[in-house]
Amino acid sequence: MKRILLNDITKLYGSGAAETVAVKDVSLVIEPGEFFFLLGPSGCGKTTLLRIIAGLTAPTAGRVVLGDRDVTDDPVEKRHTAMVFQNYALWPHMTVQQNVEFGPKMQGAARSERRRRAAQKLELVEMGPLAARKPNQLSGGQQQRVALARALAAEPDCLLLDEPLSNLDARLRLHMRQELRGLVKQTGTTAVYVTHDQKEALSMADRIAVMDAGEVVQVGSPQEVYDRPGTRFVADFLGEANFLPGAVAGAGEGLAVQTAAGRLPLAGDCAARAGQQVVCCVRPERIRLERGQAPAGVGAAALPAVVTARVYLGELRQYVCRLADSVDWRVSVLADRRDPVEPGEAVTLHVSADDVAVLPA
Amino acid sequence: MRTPGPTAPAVTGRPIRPDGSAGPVSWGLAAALGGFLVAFLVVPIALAVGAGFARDGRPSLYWIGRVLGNEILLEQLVNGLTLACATTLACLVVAIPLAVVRTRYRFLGSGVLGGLLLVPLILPPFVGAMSMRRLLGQWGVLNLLLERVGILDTAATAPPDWLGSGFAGVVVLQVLHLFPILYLNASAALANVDPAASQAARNLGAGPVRTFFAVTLPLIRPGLFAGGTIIFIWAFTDIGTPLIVGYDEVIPVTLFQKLSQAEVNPLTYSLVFVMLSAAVGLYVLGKFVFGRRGTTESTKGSIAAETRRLGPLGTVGAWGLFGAVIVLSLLPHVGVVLTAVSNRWINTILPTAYTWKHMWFIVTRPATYNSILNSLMYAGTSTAVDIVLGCIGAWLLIRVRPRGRTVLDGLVMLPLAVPGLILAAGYVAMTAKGAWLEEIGPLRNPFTILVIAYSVRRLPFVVRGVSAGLEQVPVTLEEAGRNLGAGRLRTAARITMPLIAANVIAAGVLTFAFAMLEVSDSLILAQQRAHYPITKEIYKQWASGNLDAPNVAAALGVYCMLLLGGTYAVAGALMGRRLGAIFRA
Repeated sequence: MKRILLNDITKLYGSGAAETVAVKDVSLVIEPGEFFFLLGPSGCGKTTLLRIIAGLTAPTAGRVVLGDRDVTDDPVEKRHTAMVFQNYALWPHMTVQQNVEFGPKMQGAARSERRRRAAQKLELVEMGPLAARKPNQLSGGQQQRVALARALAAEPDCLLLDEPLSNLDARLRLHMRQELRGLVKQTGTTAVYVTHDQKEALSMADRIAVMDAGEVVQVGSPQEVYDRPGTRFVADFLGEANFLPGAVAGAGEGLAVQTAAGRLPLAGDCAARAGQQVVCCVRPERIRLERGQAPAGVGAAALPAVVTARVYLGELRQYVCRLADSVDWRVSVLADRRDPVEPGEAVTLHVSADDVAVLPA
Repeated sequence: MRTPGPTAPAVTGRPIRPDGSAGPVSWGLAAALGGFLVAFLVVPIALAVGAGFARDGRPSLYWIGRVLGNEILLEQLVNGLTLACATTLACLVVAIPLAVVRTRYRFLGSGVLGGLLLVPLILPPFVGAMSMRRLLGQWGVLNLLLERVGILDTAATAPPDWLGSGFAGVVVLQVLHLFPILYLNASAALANVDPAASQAARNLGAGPVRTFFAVTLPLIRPGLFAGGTIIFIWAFTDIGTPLIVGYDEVIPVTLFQKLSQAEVNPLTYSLVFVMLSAAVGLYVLGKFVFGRRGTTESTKGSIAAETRRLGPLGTVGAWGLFGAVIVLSLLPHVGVVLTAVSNRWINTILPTAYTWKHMWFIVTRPATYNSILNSLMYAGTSTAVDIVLGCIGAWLLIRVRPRGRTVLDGLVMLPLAVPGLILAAGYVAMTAKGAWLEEIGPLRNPFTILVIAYSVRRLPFVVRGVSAGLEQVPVTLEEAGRNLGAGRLRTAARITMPLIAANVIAAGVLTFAFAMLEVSDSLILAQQRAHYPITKEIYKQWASGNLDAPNVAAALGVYCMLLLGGTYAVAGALMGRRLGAIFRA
């Protein structure tokens, strides 16, 4: 359980004209015991960053500090990290037991100690009865658990997980989310988890660093990055978002953004100042849709719109609504048995000030 | 968010390193391997070729002119090329149908028959050649059999000599020994062809034959080329078979005779250059015409290959095809064994009296059993050297991938295109009287130079074999080991090695067998009887002119087969269990 400190990490591949930037000037502090997520689309550098922490990839520039030790120049095996690989990387020539005992063995633990640690971790992931099996006799989910047990048995200073759930089928993946978080939090280890699945990150993380094109664009708790995205990229990558450009006007309680489709109020604690050009961002599920024309409430907006399309999603209905100035917004409404709004109907979209995030234009 | 840590001074401008991080260890190993190959591959070739371009200490084309103006030598060169073409084509004709049947169909005993096809590889064809005259000569077993069944009447007309001038005999023997190499290459290539490719052709209306020639054959062409070049160069530079069959009108035999003399004439070296040019020229031409990788390089199966089970009629047909080839290719072996234990075998189909005395003779006479011990020592050492060098080479090429790896790759694969005979000529030049390596030359103890020769020539195969294994081991398996605290060496010993053990053992066994059977280097570089390897001793026994010379030579051949058969059996037993454990689905 150690703090991880990344200082100005840069990783370049190739040289000259073929040079590509995999990670650019990334600095992060990951607190002891924190379950920290690196989230981003494929190719954003998140796995490279994880491998730099593990020591499997050498950074072109920057330092990696684990606890109070600068490990940048330490070889992989001296770092006391343990990684759960995307394809699990279980050794096919060893049994489950031998796989899990490997870490303690390399640390020079006595036979009895190795046994105890392996048994305990296999117990934790409910794989004890299958300890004598070879990895290729296990299902994907079982292999995933063994990979986790193997990493935990090394009792690492920090646990690194590289898309550990991506090879599981959808149902199992959902089930494993909470279970995995429980297991990791139970051990108290500092953990870094790489994923491109925003639902995974939002539901499991203590904090998330959203990455794009080698850079960290925003760090925060799941709710912070979801509700108050710092850029259009973050807003788009984490779920769905509607955008509307405009100019900030007024101050205090009257702070609002004047847009082509109408006036959107802002929360009082918003950092925007009058005169600024901004883009407003509103999540589809935070919009209340009402039939016909209706006046706005206090601290809320009422934007007139026309429904142009409707999609049934099971638990939700999503409407595409055309605002003034031909801007299309998506609005999600819990689906019920009542008559849905038909395309062509005029509606009013209600947005409260707390649900409007302001992005730089 | 950007919080520079107190203990972390910002450092920039660290050199970019490839991911395997080629550290000093890697560079050291790369330098060592490269140095070895330059010293014992590039330098000897350069020396041998260079010696042909000097007259009275000055550069000159005089000797080349002498070679190219010599009609006898030119005719021998043409003979050699014709021989190599004939052998290669015949191998293709024999091997492709076998490979197609084996990969497309399942039938009772297909595994056993496929395995038996590889047996010819345990005997050098020149040993088999000793029994071929008895089998196919004018008064040979075949003619006697034909007379027995009434087809031939030896009293009325002189029976035909099936070996003719010797050309046909050499081709037959080489084909019977070499076709398994092409069979293996063709099978591997066929297994890599996406079954959907030929299914698409069938779907669009092409018949099975048309599909094979229009789709499958072009796709396996690079694989056939790889096997074909090995066979071509082997046949082009083979000295053992022509020597024993008595076919002297080919260039390798002339070269061998000239190189065996104490003083080597510069003409010999210019002959080496002409031969090397022919071999490399044809290799390059062949690579350009046949070996080019098509645009459909990645033909990994998009669907699972289907093997059809043959019906009773098809099974019998397959048995006939495999059986005929196996019987034919084992005939020389049977002949050798019979010769070794025969006491009287004159003008009869089978020997009329048997004896163990030749077999006994081998193990009681120092000269003969020493040759066996020598060969075991040379082969064993070169196998060890090759496994170490091969693993280093494969690791560098597959895992570390340092800058300049294409040069290293080229160096490692170069022996494939350079005939052993020419390398032997290079070693002769390198260790000539007065040269700095005279001490390890043929006139002294050739242990070092023979081990080097065997190792250099077999290195490409070991590197390829181990590389194939490494490529199938995901890097993450090794990374996981390092990540959990195992150092580089421990990871190699505990994770990588067990996973590629099968490849390493297979490469080792084949290297050992190659060294035991090697002819050109062995005949040229061992000149003192006490240091003869087994192949040279067989040749010397055969050429001794003693009454029982063929029997003693054959008896040595039998020991050779027993040793190699034993090696394969041990390797099979060694790998069997572990192979099963690793690759159980």
